[in-house]
Amino acid sequence: MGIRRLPGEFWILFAFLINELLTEVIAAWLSDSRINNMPLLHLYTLVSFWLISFFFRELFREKELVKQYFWPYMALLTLLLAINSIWLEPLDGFNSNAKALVQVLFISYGVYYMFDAFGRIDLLQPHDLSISLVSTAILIYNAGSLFIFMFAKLLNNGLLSRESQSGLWMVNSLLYLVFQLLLLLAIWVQVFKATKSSS
Amino acid sequence: MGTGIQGNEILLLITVGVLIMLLLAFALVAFFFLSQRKLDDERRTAYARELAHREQLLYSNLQTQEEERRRIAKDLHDAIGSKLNVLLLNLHRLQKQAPATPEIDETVREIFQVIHTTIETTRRISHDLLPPTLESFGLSEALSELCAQYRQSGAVDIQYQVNEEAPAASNKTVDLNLFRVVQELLANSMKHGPAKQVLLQLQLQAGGLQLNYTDDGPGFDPKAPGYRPGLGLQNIESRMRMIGAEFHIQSASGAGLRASINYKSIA
Repeated sequence: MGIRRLPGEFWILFAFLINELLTEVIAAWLSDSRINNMPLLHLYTLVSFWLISFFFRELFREKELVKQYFWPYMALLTLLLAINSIWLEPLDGFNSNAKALVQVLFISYGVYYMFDAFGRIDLLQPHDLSISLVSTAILIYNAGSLFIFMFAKLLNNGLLSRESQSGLWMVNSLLYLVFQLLLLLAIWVQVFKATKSSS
Repeated sequence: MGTGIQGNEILLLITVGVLIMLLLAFALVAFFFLSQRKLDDERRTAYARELAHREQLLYSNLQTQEEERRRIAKDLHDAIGSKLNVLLLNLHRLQKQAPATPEIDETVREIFQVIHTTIETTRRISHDLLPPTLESFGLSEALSELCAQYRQSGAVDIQYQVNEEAPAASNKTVDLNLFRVVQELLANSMKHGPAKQVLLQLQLQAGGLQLNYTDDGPGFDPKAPGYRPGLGLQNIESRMRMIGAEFHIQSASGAGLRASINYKSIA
Protein backbone atom coordinates (compact mmCIF):
# COMPACT_ATOMS: atom_id res chain seq x y z
CA MET A 1 0.00 0.00 0.00
CA GLY A 2 2.87 2.42 0.71
CA ILE A 3 3.21 4.68 3.69
CA ARG A 4 1.58 7.78 2.19
CA ARG A 5 -1.77 6.14 1.65
CA LEU A 6 -2.07 4.74 5.17
CA PRO A 7 -5.50 5.11 6.75
CA GLY A 8 -5.95 7.66 9.55
CA GLU A 9 -5.85 5.11 12.37
CA PHE A 10 -2.29 4.16 11.42
CA TRP A 11 -1.06 7.72 11.75
CA ILE A 12 -2.54 7.72 15.25
CA LEU A 13 -0.72 4.45 15.88
CA PHE A 14 2.52 6.09 14.77
CA ALA A 15 1.85 8.97 17.16
CA PHE A 16 1.25 6.41 19.90
CA LEU A 17 4.57 4.69 19.14
CA ILE A 18 6.42 8.00 19.14
CA ASN A 19 4.83 8.79 22.50
CA GLU A 20 6.01 5.39 23.80
CA LEU A 21 9.56 6.01 22.58
CA LEU A 22 9.77 9.55 23.94
CA THR A 23 8.39 8.44 27.29
CA GLU A 24 10.92 5.61 27.53
CA VAL A 25 13.83 7.89 26.63
CA ILE A 26 12.80 10.71 28.96
CA ALA A 27 12.01 8.27 31.80
CA ALA A 28 15.44 6.67 31.45
CA TRP A 29 17.14 10.06 31.36
CA LEU A 30 15.23 11.25 34.45
CA SER A 31 16.08 8.03 36.24
CA ASP A 32 19.77 8.39 35.36
CA SER A 33 19.66 11.98 36.57
CA ARG A 34 18.11 10.75 39.84
CA ILE A 35 14.97 12.80 39.20
CA ASN A 36 11.60 11.29 40.06
CA ASN A 37 10.04 10.21 36.76
CA MET A 38 6.63 9.34 38.18
CA PRO A 39 4.96 12.53 36.87
CA LEU A 40 5.89 11.31 33.43
CA LEU A 41 3.87 8.13 34.02
CA HIS A 42 0.79 10.25 34.83
CA LEU A 43 1.25 12.19 31.62
CA TYR A 44 1.99 9.02 29.64
CA THR A 45 -1.19 7.37 30.95
CA LEU A 46 -3.27 10.34 29.81
CA VAL A 47 -1.64 10.69 26.37
CA SER A 48 -1.76 6.95 25.63
CA PHE A 49 -5.44 6.94 26.69
CA TRP A 50 -6.14 9.73 24.20
CA LEU A 51 -4.22 8.12 21.36
CA ILE A 52 -5.60 4.60 21.75
CA SER A 53 -9.11 6.02 22.14
CA PHE A 54 -8.66 8.07 18.95
CA PHE A 55 -7.30 4.97 17.22
CA PHE A 56 -10.44 2.97 18.01
CA ARG A 57 -12.64 5.97 17.29
CA GLU A 58 -11.30 5.89 13.72
CA LEU A 59 -12.42 2.27 13.48
CA PHE A 60 -15.86 2.89 14.93
CA ARG A 61 -16.53 6.40 13.66
CA GLU A 62 -19.74 5.27 11.95
CA LYS A 63 -21.25 3.96 15.19
CA GLU A 64 -23.99 6.18 16.52
CA LEU A 65 -22.74 5.79 20.09
CA VAL A 66 -19.27 6.98 19.11
CA LYS A 67 -20.67 9.90 17.10
CA GLN A 68 -22.77 11.10 20.00
CA TYR A 69 -20.76 10.35 23.10
CA PHE A 70 -17.09 10.26 22.12
CA TRP A 71 -16.18 13.80 23.14
CA PRO A 72 -18.18 13.80 26.41
CA TYR A 73 -16.60 10.42 27.19
CA MET A 74 -13.10 11.75 26.49
CA ALA A 75 -13.75 14.86 28.58
CA LEU A 76 -15.10 12.81 31.47
CA LEU A 77 -12.21 10.34 31.46
CA THR A 78 -9.64 13.13 31.12
CA LEU A 79 -11.26 14.86 34.09
CA LEU A 80 -11.19 11.65 36.12
CA LEU A 81 -7.51 11.07 35.33
CA ALA A 82 -6.71 14.68 36.23
CA ILE A 83 -8.63 14.43 39.53
CA ASN A 84 -6.79 11.20 40.32
CA SER A 85 -3.41 12.78 39.65
CA ILE A 86 -4.20 15.94 41.64
CA TRP A 87 -5.97 14.55 44.71
CA LEU A 88 -5.88 10.76 44.90
CA GLU A 89 -2.50 9.65 43.61
CA PRO A 90 -0.04 12.55 43.67
CA LEU A 91 2.19 13.15 40.67
CA ASP A 92 5.33 11.96 42.46
CA GLY A 93 3.85 8.50 43.13
CA PHE A 94 2.54 5.58 41.17
CA ASN A 95 -0.86 6.12 39.48
CA SER A 96 -2.22 2.60 39.92
CA ASN A 97 -5.87 3.68 39.84
CA ALA A 98 -5.55 5.67 36.63
CA LYS A 99 -3.35 3.07 34.98
CA ALA A 100 -5.69 0.21 35.91
CA LEU A 101 -8.73 2.18 34.71
CA VAL A 102 -7.06 3.00 31.39
CA GLN A 103 -5.93 -0.60 30.96
CA VAL A 104 -9.46 -1.88 31.61
CA LEU A 105 -10.71 0.56 28.98
CA PHE A 106 -8.07 -0.63 26.50
CA ILE A 107 -9.06 -4.25 27.15
CA SER A 108 -12.70 -3.27 26.56
CA TYR A 109 -11.76 -1.61 23.25
CA GLY A 110 -9.92 -4.76 22.12
CA VAL A 111 -12.73 -7.10 23.19
CA TYR A 112 -15.35 -4.86 21.59
CA TYR A 113 -13.38 -4.75 18.34
CA MET A 114 -13.21 -8.55 18.23
CA PHE A 115 -16.92 -8.98 18.86
CA ASP A 116 -17.83 -6.25 16.41
CA ALA A 117 -15.44 -7.34 13.65
CA PHE A 118 -16.14 -11.06 13.92
CA GLY A 119 -17.82 -12.31 10.74
CA ARG A 120 -17.59 -8.88 9.15
CA ILE A 121 -13.90 -8.80 8.25
CA ASP A 122 -11.65 -10.87 6.01
CA LEU A 123 -8.30 -11.79 7.54
CA LEU A 124 -6.74 -12.12 4.10
CA GLN A 125 -7.23 -8.38 3.63
CA PRO A 126 -4.15 -6.56 4.98
CA HIS A 127 -6.14 -3.79 6.68
CA ASP A 128 -8.43 -6.19 8.51
CA LEU A 129 -5.54 -8.42 9.57
CA SER A 130 -3.47 -5.44 10.63
CA ILE A 131 -6.21 -3.92 12.82
CA SER A 132 -6.88 -7.34 14.32
CA LEU A 133 -3.19 -7.63 15.20
CA VAL A 134 -3.19 -4.19 16.83
CA SER A 135 -6.26 -5.14 18.86
CA THR A 136 -4.61 -8.42 19.84
CA ALA A 137 -1.47 -6.57 20.94
CA ILE A 138 -3.49 -4.10 23.01
CA LEU A 139 -5.62 -6.87 24.52
CA ILE A 140 -2.77 -9.21 25.46
CA TYR A 141 -0.43 -6.56 26.85
CA ASN A 142 -3.05 -4.78 28.92
CA ALA A 143 -4.71 -7.97 30.15
CA GLY A 144 -1.34 -9.41 31.14
CA SER A 145 -0.01 -6.32 32.87
CA LEU A 146 -3.27 -5.14 34.46
CA PHE A 147 -2.63 -6.92 37.77
CA ILE A 148 1.00 -5.80 37.87
CA PHE A 149 0.03 -2.12 37.55
CA MET A 150 -2.96 -2.52 39.87
CA PHE A 151 -0.60 -3.63 42.62
CA ALA A 152 2.32 -1.45 41.54
CA LYS A 153 2.04 0.76 44.62
CA LEU A 154 2.28 -2.28 46.87
CA LEU A 155 5.27 -3.55 44.90
CA ASN A 156 7.06 -0.27 45.46
CA ASN A 157 6.19 -0.27 49.17
CA GLY A 158 8.61 -3.09 49.80
CA LEU A 159 6.02 -5.75 50.53
CA LEU A 160 7.67 -8.03 48.04
CA SER A 161 11.25 -9.13 47.85
CA ARG A 162 13.43 -7.41 45.28
CA GLU A 163 13.60 -10.66 43.22
CA SER A 164 9.81 -11.01 43.14
CA GLN A 165 9.45 -7.35 42.15
CA SER A 166 11.96 -7.60 39.35
CA GLY A 167 10.38 -10.89 38.26
CA LEU A 168 7.00 -9.20 37.85
CA TRP A 169 8.49 -6.21 36.04
CA MET A 170 10.30 -8.66 33.76
CA VAL A 171 6.95 -10.28 32.94
CA ASN A 172 5.66 -6.79 32.13
CA SER A 173 8.71 -6.12 29.94
CA LEU A 174 8.21 -9.41 28.13
CA LEU A 175 4.56 -8.60 27.49
CA TYR A 176 5.59 -5.13 26.34
CA LEU A 177 8.06 -6.70 23.90
CA VAL A 178 5.29 -8.95 22.52
CA PHE A 179 3.07 -5.85 22.30
CA GLN A 180 5.67 -3.93 20.28
CA LEU A 181 6.40 -6.92 18.01
CA LEU A 182 2.71 -7.37 17.25
CA LEU A 183 2.39 -3.67 16.44
CA LEU A 184 5.43 -3.92 14.17
CA LEU A 185 3.88 -6.92 12.43
CA ALA A 186 0.58 -5.05 12.06
CA ILE A 187 2.29 -2.06 10.44
CA TRP A 188 4.32 -4.34 8.18
CA VAL A 189 1.15 -6.13 7.05
CA GLN A 190 -0.62 -2.84 6.36
CA VAL A 191 2.28 -1.21 4.52
CA PHE A 192 3.78 -4.09 2.56
CA LYS A 193 1.09 -6.69 1.95
CA ALA A 194 -0.93 -6.24 -1.19
CA THR A 195 -4.69 -6.20 -0.93
CA LYS A 196 -6.22 -9.45 -2.17
CA SER A 197 -9.28 -9.40 -4.27
CA SER A 198 -11.99 -11.73 -3.22
CA SER A 199 -15.65 -11.64 -2.48
CA MET B 1 7.50 -12.93 59.16
CA GLY B 2 3.98 -11.48 58.83
CA THR B 3 5.20 -9.16 56.08
CA GLY B 4 6.72 -12.16 54.29
CA ILE B 5 3.44 -14.08 54.24
CA GLN B 6 1.57 -11.00 53.12
CA GLY B 7 4.17 -10.45 50.41
CA ASN B 8 3.82 -14.05 49.21
CA GLU B 9 0.05 -13.72 49.15
CA ILE B 10 0.31 -10.55 47.08
CA LEU B 11 2.79 -12.23 44.74
CA LEU B 12 0.44 -15.20 44.40
CA LEU B 13 -2.53 -12.90 43.81
CA ILE B 14 -0.68 -10.92 41.14
CA THR B 15 0.69 -14.06 39.47
CA VAL B 16 -2.71 -15.78 39.41
CA GLY B 17 -4.32 -12.53 38.21
CA VAL B 18 -1.78 -12.12 35.42
CA LEU B 19 -2.16 -15.77 34.38
CA ILE B 20 -5.96 -15.71 34.39
CA MET B 21 -6.10 -12.45 32.45
CA LEU B 22 -3.54 -13.71 29.94
CA LEU B 23 -5.41 -16.98 29.59
CA LEU B 24 -8.67 -15.15 28.95
CA ALA B 25 -7.00 -12.80 26.47
CA PHE B 26 -5.30 -15.65 24.61
CA ALA B 27 -8.53 -17.66 24.57
CA LEU B 28 -10.44 -14.73 23.10
CA VAL B 29 -7.73 -13.99 20.55
CA ALA B 30 -7.44 -17.67 19.55
CA PHE B 31 -11.22 -17.98 19.26
CA PHE B 32 -11.37 -14.79 17.21
CA PHE B 33 -8.61 -15.70 14.76
CA LEU B 34 -9.50 -19.40 14.37
CA SER B 35 -13.23 -18.83 13.98
CA GLN B 36 -12.74 -15.85 11.71
CA ARG B 37 -10.33 -17.86 9.57
CA LYS B 38 -12.83 -20.69 9.34
CA LEU B 39 -15.56 -18.23 8.43
CA ASP B 40 -13.33 -16.63 5.79
CA ASP B 41 -12.53 -20.06 4.32
CA GLU B 42 -16.21 -20.99 4.20
CA ARG B 43 -17.05 -17.66 2.59
CA ARG B 44 -14.29 -18.12 0.03
CA THR B 45 -15.37 -21.69 -0.75
CA ALA B 46 -18.97 -20.55 -1.23
CA TYR B 47 -17.80 -17.71 -3.45
CA ALA B 48 -15.59 -20.04 -5.51
CA ARG B 49 -18.53 -22.43 -5.87
CA GLU B 50 -20.77 -19.59 -7.01
CA LEU B 51 -18.13 -18.43 -9.48
CA ALA B 52 -17.72 -21.96 -10.84
CA HIS B 53 -21.49 -22.22 -11.20
CA ARG B 54 -21.65 -18.90 -13.05
CA GLU B 55 -18.75 -20.00 -15.23
CA GLN B 56 -20.55 -23.26 -16.00
CA LEU B 57 -23.66 -21.31 -16.95
CA LEU B 58 -21.60 -19.11 -19.21
CA TYR B 59 -19.95 -22.13 -20.86
CA SER B 60 -23.35 -23.69 -21.45
CA ASN B 61 -24.57 -20.41 -22.84
CA LEU B 62 -21.62 -20.18 -25.22
CA GLN B 63 -22.03 -23.79 -26.30
CA THR B 64 -25.75 -23.32 -26.89
CA GLN B 65 -24.98 -20.17 -28.86
CA GLU B 66 -22.52 -22.06 -31.05
CA GLU B 67 -24.93 -24.95 -31.58
CA GLU B 68 -27.68 -22.50 -32.48
CA ARG B 69 -25.37 -20.69 -34.91
CA ARG B 70 -24.42 -24.01 -36.47
CA ARG B 71 -28.10 -24.98 -36.82
CA ILE B 72 -29.10 -21.62 -38.34
CA ALA B 73 -26.10 -21.69 -40.71
CA LYS B 74 -27.02 -25.22 -41.81
CA ASP B 75 -30.70 -24.29 -42.26
CA LEU B 76 -29.79 -21.18 -44.23
CA HIS B 77 -27.46 -23.13 -46.45
CA ASP B 78 -29.49 -26.32 -46.88
CA ALA B 79 -33.06 -25.07 -46.83
CA ILE B 80 -33.12 -21.45 -48.00
CA GLY B 81 -29.95 -21.59 -50.12
CA SER B 82 -31.00 -24.70 -52.03
CA LYS B 83 -34.54 -23.38 -52.54
CA LEU B 84 -33.16 -20.13 -53.89
CA ASN B 85 -31.05 -22.13 -56.32
CA VAL B 86 -34.14 -24.06 -57.45
CA LEU B 87 -35.90 -20.72 -57.88
CA LEU B 88 -32.99 -19.49 -59.99
CA LEU B 89 -33.10 -22.59 -62.21
CA ASN B 90 -36.86 -22.27 -62.70
CA LEU B 91 -36.45 -18.63 -63.56
CA HIS B 92 -33.88 -19.59 -66.21
CA ARG B 93 -36.43 -22.06 -67.64
CA LEU B 94 -39.14 -19.45 -67.53
CA GLN B 95 -36.89 -16.93 -69.27
CA LYS B 96 -36.27 -19.41 -72.12
CA GLN B 97 -39.97 -20.28 -72.52
CA ALA B 98 -41.49 -16.83 -72.03
CA PRO B 99 -42.08 -14.54 -75.04
CA ALA B 100 -39.27 -12.02 -75.33
CA THR B 101 -40.76 -8.61 -74.61
CA PRO B 102 -38.73 -5.73 -73.12
CA GLU B 103 -41.05 -5.59 -70.05
CA ILE B 104 -40.65 -9.32 -69.32
CA ASP B 105 -36.86 -9.15 -69.91
CA GLU B 106 -36.56 -6.21 -67.52
CA THR B 107 -38.69 -7.92 -64.85
CA VAL B 108 -36.79 -11.22 -65.17
CA ARG B 109 -33.45 -9.37 -64.92
CA GLU B 110 -34.62 -7.65 -61.75
CA ILE B 111 -35.79 -10.97 -60.27
CA PHE B 112 -32.42 -12.53 -61.18
CA GLN B 113 -30.64 -9.70 -59.41
CA VAL B 114 -32.79 -10.03 -56.29
CA ILE B 115 -32.29 -13.80 -56.19
CA HIS B 116 -28.50 -13.44 -56.68
CA THR B 117 -28.31 -10.84 -53.94
CA THR B 118 -30.40 -13.02 -51.64
CA ILE B 119 -28.24 -16.07 -52.34
CA GLU B 120 -25.12 -14.01 -51.68
CA THR B 121 -26.56 -12.54 -48.47
CA THR B 122 -27.68 -15.98 -47.27
CA ARG B 123 -24.24 -17.40 -48.01
CA ARG B 124 -22.55 -14.52 -46.19
CA ILE B 125 -24.77 -14.84 -43.15
CA SER B 126 -24.28 -18.58 -43.13
CA HIS B 127 -20.49 -18.16 -43.42
CA ASP B 128 -20.46 -15.54 -40.69
CA LEU B 129 -22.38 -17.84 -38.41
CA LEU B 130 -20.09 -20.78 -39.07
CA PRO B 131 -17.22 -20.42 -41.54
CA PRO B 132 -17.16 -23.57 -43.69
CA THR B 133 -13.41 -23.13 -44.08
CA LEU B 134 -13.05 -23.65 -40.34
CA GLU B 135 -15.09 -26.85 -40.50
CA SER B 136 -13.37 -28.17 -43.61
CA PHE B 137 -9.77 -26.88 -43.46
CA GLY B 138 -9.12 -25.93 -39.85
CA LEU B 139 -8.13 -22.85 -37.90
CA SER B 140 -5.13 -21.73 -39.92
CA GLU B 141 -7.08 -21.49 -43.19
CA ALA B 142 -10.12 -19.94 -41.52
CA LEU B 143 -7.98 -17.21 -39.96
CA SER B 144 -6.32 -16.61 -43.30
CA GLU B 145 -9.75 -16.18 -44.91
CA LEU B 146 -10.93 -13.90 -42.10
CA CYS B 147 -7.86 -11.69 -42.48
CA ALA B 148 -8.35 -11.58 -46.25
CA GLN B 149 -11.94 -10.39 -45.76
CA TYR B 150 -10.80 -7.56 -43.49
CA ARG B 151 -7.96 -6.70 -45.86
CA GLN B 152 -10.37 -6.52 -48.79
CA SER B 153 -12.59 -4.10 -46.91
CA GLY B 154 -9.58 -1.73 -46.92
CA ALA B 155 -10.29 -0.64 -43.34
CA VAL B 156 -7.16 -2.15 -41.86
CA ASP B 157 -3.80 -3.51 -42.92
CA ILE B 158 -3.67 -7.07 -41.57
CA GLN B 159 -0.62 -9.26 -41.63
CA TYR B 160 -1.15 -12.90 -40.94
CA GLN B 161 1.83 -15.15 -40.23
CA VAL B 162 1.65 -18.89 -39.71
CA ASN B 163 4.44 -21.05 -38.43
CA GLU B 164 3.64 -24.73 -38.54
CA GLU B 165 6.26 -26.55 -36.51
CA ALA B 166 3.96 -29.48 -35.99
CA PRO B 167 0.52 -30.59 -37.16
CA ALA B 168 -2.38 -28.89 -35.43
CA ALA B 169 -3.06 -30.45 -32.05
CA SER B 170 -6.38 -28.74 -31.48
CA ASN B 171 -9.89 -30.06 -32.00
CA LYS B 172 -12.97 -28.45 -33.58
CA THR B 173 -14.23 -26.90 -30.34
CA VAL B 174 -10.83 -25.35 -29.63
CA ASP B 175 -10.53 -24.10 -33.21
CA LEU B 176 -13.99 -22.59 -33.14
CA ASN B 177 -13.35 -20.79 -29.83
CA LEU B 178 -9.97 -19.48 -30.99
CA PHE B 179 -11.57 -18.29 -34.21
CA ARG B 180 -14.32 -16.48 -32.26
CA VAL B 181 -11.67 -14.83 -30.08
CA VAL B 182 -9.80 -13.52 -33.12
CA GLN B 183 -13.12 -12.30 -34.56
CA GLU B 184 -13.82 -10.49 -31.27
CA LEU B 185 -10.33 -8.96 -31.14
CA LEU B 186 -10.61 -7.76 -34.72
CA ALA B 187 -14.08 -6.33 -34.09
CA ASN B 188 -12.70 -4.49 -31.05
CA SER B 189 -9.74 -3.15 -33.04
CA MET B 190 -12.17 -1.78 -35.62
CA LYS B 191 -14.63 -0.44 -33.06
CA HIS B 192 -12.33 1.38 -30.63
CA GLY B 193 -9.96 3.47 -32.53
CA PRO B 194 -9.86 2.13 -35.10
CA ALA B 195 -6.51 0.40 -35.52
CA LYS B 196 -4.65 0.88 -38.80
CA GLN B 197 -2.39 -2.16 -38.56
CA VAL B 198 -2.94 -5.59 -37.13
CA LEU B 199 -0.47 -8.44 -36.87
CA LEU B 200 -1.79 -11.94 -36.27
CA GLN B 201 0.68 -14.76 -35.68
CA LEU B 202 -0.24 -18.41 -35.33
CA GLN B 203 2.35 -20.90 -34.24
CA LEU B 204 1.39 -24.55 -34.34
CA GLN B 205 3.63 -26.44 -31.94
CA ALA B 206 3.84 -30.03 -30.85
CA GLY B 207 0.94 -30.55 -28.46
CA GLY B 208 -0.51 -27.07 -28.74
CA LEU B 209 -0.46 -23.69 -30.35
CA GLN B 210 0.44 -20.07 -29.68
CA LEU B 211 -1.56 -17.19 -31.07
CA ASN B 212 -0.38 -13.58 -30.85
CA TYR B 213 -2.45 -10.57 -31.79
CA THR B 214 -1.11 -7.02 -31.97
CA ASP B 215 -2.81 -3.82 -33.07
CA ASP B 216 -1.82 -0.15 -33.12
CA GLY B 217 -5.17 1.12 -31.85
CA PRO B 218 -5.68 3.56 -28.99
CA GLY B 219 -5.37 0.80 -26.35
CA PHE B 220 -6.65 1.12 -22.83
CA ASP B 221 -5.25 1.14 -19.32
CA PRO B 222 -6.36 -2.04 -17.53
CA LYS B 223 -4.94 -0.66 -14.25
CA ALA B 224 -6.92 2.57 -14.43
CA PRO B 225 -9.21 3.08 -11.43
CA GLY B 226 -12.71 1.91 -12.18
CA TYR B 227 -11.66 -0.07 -15.26
CA ARG B 228 -13.91 -3.06 -15.91
CA PRO B 229 -13.39 -5.37 -18.87
CA GLY B 230 -16.18 -5.11 -21.45
CA LEU B 231 -18.51 -7.90 -22.42
CA GLY B 232 -16.32 -8.82 -25.42
CA LEU B 233 -13.21 -9.22 -23.29
CA GLN B 234 -15.13 -11.17 -20.66
CA ASN B 235 -16.40 -13.45 -23.42
CA ILE B 236 -12.86 -14.00 -24.66
CA GLU B 237 -11.65 -14.85 -21.16
CA SER B 238 -14.53 -17.26 -20.66
CA ARG B 239 -13.93 -18.99 -23.96
CA MET B 240 -10.23 -19.38 -23.13
CA ARG B 241 -10.97 -20.78 -19.69
CA MET B 242 -13.48 -23.13 -21.27
CA ILE B 243 -10.87 -24.71 -23.56
CA GLY B 244 -8.14 -24.47 -20.92
CA ALA B 245 -5.98 -21.95 -22.78
CA GLU B 246 -3.89 -19.20 -21.20
CA PHE B 247 -4.90 -15.73 -22.25
CA HIS B 248 -2.83 -12.61 -21.59
CA ILE B 249 -3.59 -9.09 -22.63
CA GLN B 250 -1.25 -6.12 -22.52
CA SER B 251 -2.33 -2.61 -23.28
CA ALA B 252 -1.77 0.98 -22.26
CA SER B 253 -3.46 4.20 -23.20
CA GLY B 254 -2.26 5.15 -26.71
CA ALA B 255 -0.01 2.10 -27.02
CA GLY B 256 -2.18 -0.42 -28.86
CA LEU B 257 -3.00 -3.88 -27.69
CA ARG B 258 -1.12 -7.16 -27.47
CA ALA B 259 -2.96 -10.35 -26.76
CA SER B 260 -1.46 -13.80 -26.55
CA ILE B 261 -3.11 -17.17 -26.30
CA ASN B 262 -1.29 -20.31 -25.36
CA TYR B 263 -3.12 -23.59 -25.79
CA LYS B 264 -1.74 -26.95 -24.76
CA SER B 265 -3.76 -29.98 -25.70
CA ILE B 266 -4.28 -32.65 -23.08
CA ALA B 267 -2.66 -35.82 -24.36
